[in-house]
This record gives sequence, C-alpha cells and structure tokens, in this order.
Amino acid sequence: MLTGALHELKQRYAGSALGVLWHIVTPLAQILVYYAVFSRFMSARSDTPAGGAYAVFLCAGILPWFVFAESVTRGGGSLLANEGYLKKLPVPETVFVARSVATSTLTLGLYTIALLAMALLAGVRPQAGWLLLPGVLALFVCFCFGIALVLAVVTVFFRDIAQIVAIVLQFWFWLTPIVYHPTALGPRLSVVMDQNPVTPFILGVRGLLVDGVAPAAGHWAWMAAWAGGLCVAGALMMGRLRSDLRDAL
Amino acid sequence: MVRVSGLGKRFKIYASPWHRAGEWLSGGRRNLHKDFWALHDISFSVEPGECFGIIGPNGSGKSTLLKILSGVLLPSKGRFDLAASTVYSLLELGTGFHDDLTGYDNVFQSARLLGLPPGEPRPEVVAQIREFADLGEFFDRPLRFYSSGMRVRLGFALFAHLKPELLIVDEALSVGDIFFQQKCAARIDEMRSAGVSFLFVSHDMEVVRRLCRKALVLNHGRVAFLGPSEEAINRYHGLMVGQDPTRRAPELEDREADEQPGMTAAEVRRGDILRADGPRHGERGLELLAARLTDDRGRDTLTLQTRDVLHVDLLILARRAVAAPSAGLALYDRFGTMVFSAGTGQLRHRLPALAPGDAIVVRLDLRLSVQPGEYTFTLGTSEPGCFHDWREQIGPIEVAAEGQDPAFYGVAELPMEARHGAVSHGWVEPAVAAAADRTA
Repeated sequence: MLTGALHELKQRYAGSALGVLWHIVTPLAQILVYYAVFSRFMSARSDTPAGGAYAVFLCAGILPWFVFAESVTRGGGSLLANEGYLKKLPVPETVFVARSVATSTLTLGLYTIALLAMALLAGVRPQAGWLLLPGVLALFVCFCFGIALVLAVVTVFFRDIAQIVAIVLQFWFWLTPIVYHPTALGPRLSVVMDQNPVTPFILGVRGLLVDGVAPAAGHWAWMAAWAGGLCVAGALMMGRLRSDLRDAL
Repeated sequence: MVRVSGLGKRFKIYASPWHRAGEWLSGGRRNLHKDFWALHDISFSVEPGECFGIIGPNGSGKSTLLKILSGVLLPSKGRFDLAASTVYSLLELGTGFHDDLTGYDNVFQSARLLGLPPGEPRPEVVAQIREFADLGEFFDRPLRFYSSGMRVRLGFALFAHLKPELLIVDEALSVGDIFFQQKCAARIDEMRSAGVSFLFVSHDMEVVRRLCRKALVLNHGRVAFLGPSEEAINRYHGLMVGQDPTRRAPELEDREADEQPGMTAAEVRRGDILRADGPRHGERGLELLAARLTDDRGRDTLTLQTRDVLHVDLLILARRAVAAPSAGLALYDRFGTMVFSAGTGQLRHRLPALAPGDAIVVRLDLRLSVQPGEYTFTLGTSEPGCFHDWREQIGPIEVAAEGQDPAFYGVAELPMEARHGAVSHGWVEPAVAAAADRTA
C-alpha cells in the first residue's frame, strides 16, 4: 500500500518539471494567503493569537483540512478515475480508494512533521501530549477513508456528486474552525460547527499541538464514532452494490 | 480447469439516474428498472491444456461472459469455478499501462495489478519479456512514445511470460504485424503443450479453427451450440445468414439439357441471404428476389476452402418483358478490388426470354480458385445495355487455405497446364557443336 501510495504520488506529477515539489508549493501558497488576510489585513480578534502563534494556529487547522479535502475529492473520485482498471481487471474496488487515501496520509505525515517544527520555532515547548497525536491522526485517516469510500461508491452511480462535493467543500471549510476559533461565527453557526464531523479532529490536533490539551473521553468517543461509523457504512454499501457498481462502470 | 454451470447475467437498465436514486430512497421497495438478461443458463467446461473458442454474432454476450470469467463482472445467477490459481485476461492488452512510465516500469506495475508479489517478475523473466517484445531501446522509454503496435507487443510479451494457468484472450491478437502474430501463435502452442488453458473469443474463424478443438456458439445470450469447433463455425455462419445449416439443399443434376431444374423458388427463399437494407441499384425490371449460397455438400455456408465450388442460386422475377436476361456475380477481395466478374452472358448460357410475372431460378457454380481470405459479392441481373438489380456487399465469404502449402501464388488461379517431352541424353549446346564442326 505504501509503495502504491508513493507510486501514485510519483504518477500524479510525472512529466512536470518540479514533480512532487508542487505537492508542497501549492498548499504553502494557500496558507500564505490566509495568513496574510487574517493576521495582517483583517483585525485579529482577541480570541485568536497573533503573529507566529497565529501561523501555527492556522496550519494546525488547515493542513489536516487539506488532507481531508484531498481524500474526499480524490478518494471520492478514485473508482471513476480507475474505471479503466475496474473494467478490465478483477481488482478489489476498495484498493483504489485506500490507495488514494494512503497517498493523502503520506502527505499528512509530512505535514505533521512540518507542524511540529513550526510549533517549536514559534516557541511552543515540546510536551508529552504530542505523543497522543498519532492516535488522533489515525482516527482522522479512518474518517477520511470512510467518507471517501461512501462517496466513491455513490459517485459511480451519480456522477454529479463530484461537482456537488466541490461546492459543499467550499462551505464546509468556512463552517469548520480552521482560520478562526469555533466561537467566531456567533452562537447560531457555532451549533453547526459543533455538529460538523471534521471539527473534533481539527480541535483535537490543535489542542494537542498548540495548547497541549489532550482530548476528553467524550471527544475521543465522538471522533471514533465518526471514523468507525463511516468505515462501516462504506463497507456495507460496497458489499451491497459491488455487482451493480461493476455493471455501471 | 474451468467449470461453468447455469451462468446468467442480468443488467439493470435505468431510464435515468433519478430512477436509481428513487429506488435507493425507497429502500428497494420500489422497482424502477428494467431487467436485461445478457446471458442465460450458460454451462461448459474447459480441460487443462485445452483451447476453447467462444464465437457468436455481435451483441451475443461473448464479452459479458469473458468479463464474468475474468472476475470483472459478477454473475447474477449460476456459478463458475476456475481451478486455476493464476488467470490472466487479455480483455484489452496493456490495460494497466501508464503513459509516463517506461516499458520496464510498466512491466512491474502490471505485475502488481495482476497480484504478483513484489520482486516479481524475476530479472530473467524480464529479460525474456524484453526479448519477446522486441522493442529495442524503446523498452526503456516512456510509453507515450510507443506506437499502438508496440504497446500490444509489450502487453502480449508480458502475459505470455508470467506463467498463467488460464489465459483469456479477446480479439486482441488480431493486431500487430504478421511476424508478431506468428510469434504469438507459436508461443500459444508452446504454452498449451505446457498445460495452459485458453479461452478464445474471436471473429477470426481461421484462428478459432486452427487453435480450438471445441467451441461454444452464443446467440442472444444463450448457448446455440457447444461442440467441435469445425461444426461450431458452420453453426455460426448459419446464424449469420439466419438459418439452420444442417438442412441440406438439393443437389443439381448434371447439366446437359438447356433446362436443369435445381432449387425451387421456395428453397432459394428459405436460405435467402440477401439483406433488405443492403446497397442495391438498378431499374428492377428483373428483380433479384432471393439468393442462396451452398457448398458441394449442399450446406448453407459462408466458409469454403480454396478451389471449392460455391453454388449460387438466384431467384429472379421479371416485372416486365425481358428478351435477353442475364444473371451474374462479382467477387471482391478485402481491398475492394474486383477479383472476378461474369454473368450468364459471358458464359454463353442463354436464359429464356421472360414475360412480366415470370420467375426463374438460375444457378451459378463458381470455383473459388482464389487466395485464402475474406471476399464479398455482388449478385445481379441485367440485360444488354441495362442493369436491372444489383445487390452489393453480400457476405463476407471466407475462403480458407486448402493445406499447408499454397496451391498457387497471386490473386487467383488461372487455368494453367503443364506438359513435357522426352529427355535428350548427352546434350551439347548447338553453338558449341557448330564450333566443334568448324575446327574439325
């Protein structure tokens, strides 16, 4: 799976001059924009940190989000993208979704290292809580895989889903506490934010990294429920629709 | 090796994606699709080292069957067992190929997709693949620089050297140049003697005849015939012209008199091969109503061997009075070149004058002394200065080689005879003899 993921990464950028470097440059540019807009041009709110601390705050939210968004779009489209193989080879369908998410996971690993380095640079002291990070990230990856699997199956039958997902992601981003605190949008929207399944993962990562606060038991349960629930739902759908799915491709 | 029993495949046909969505939302309680059964009750078996053919008209379910056997589609009914642990399918050669990777890298990527463990194929096998594909330095270049023929070569070389137990082969092999085809055929023979089974799907009856002992004829998703490939091919041709090839057509008497009753009008009609929608021109004063092609044994056929006689029976109806009617044919090769054309006029066989409403059956016996290959026909009626009814693009008719050695070279065999005189012993060239005389 790892070699497959590496391979996909290599394939994705095969033929372009800078190759895998684009994988880092593109998100970097985006982070720069958000950082500039929110910490320089718009007055920083009292509850969001300023300067270097904001950069860590932002990245702790946005880097996992990039991984999530990539899993959803690439993973959700992975069955269609590999239509050529699925039409000709008896490969298990889930492999393609898993490979796509594994590629994103690889990115997540790199991001995590970058995040830790940034935190250290910004003056956050290393703490024992960081050891819990892999736990949160593992659940996060399961969550991404589950949602990608569900979307991948549905997308085969309803191809418009890919476009719908792209639009939904736009709103989803701003309804997730990434560039600001969960309370920033006021009481009514913060309810939505609380129910948003991505929120606990982002807050989990940020809490551990920036504040050194470990997630509470309920927080863990909530993340595990989303991750497990989506994986089970995806597996059930795949099991039921496998035959139809092959026919529809 | 392969056991298929009662296999059936149903496709759900939805008029629009909304219907599928509706079905899902109702939790499966509502039925908004139509069922289409692409395969019904298919049963057969293939032994190790056997080459099994699957033939049938377009849309008869061949590809669906192959896709089920190679695990790409799931059957709706029945079961199949592949006792082989390694089944490769050439449904489309080079499916797993990636344009940006070199031939060498693609060999490994395909091996991964086929489920081979990492490290396989071993370097010596890669060397064999490299040699068989014969791509030279292109083997180490990205596939985007390959011609389509090169891709096929790489694909077949790969499959043929990964030691499958069952190889499922689609039309794929009819691509590539003649040398590569021959190389493939030799490799297939080699693999068969090593116990590899083959499932062969082809429209190329010559390939099926040569490679397969048994074959299955599919028609509208059902088994139309299962048995020896020779008979299967005849059945297939029977299907193509739409009738039962086991029924014999009547033999003609020796032709001595002007009138030799052959087939009756009803008999010609029963085996009619003319398509209502085929290309047709002429002023129809003499209408060609039906035509039937039979071989020497009286079977309806579109497959013959070089030098076999093809009997062409034409049912002709006069719409108006025609004093000097003529019926004829033209034979075209696959490049559209007319190989031969003649009618009763050229044969100096005078047909009786016809009054309006008169019908007549004319038989033309054509010895197919042409190179093996596919040919099409034009059948027609005319009178001097006027084409009446020309029916074009009939067939294709397939002429197979008689034996190993070609009966002749060139497009067609011309009447040629040979004779020789007595042997002169102690022969001396006349000029040499004259010189010897002078010196003497």
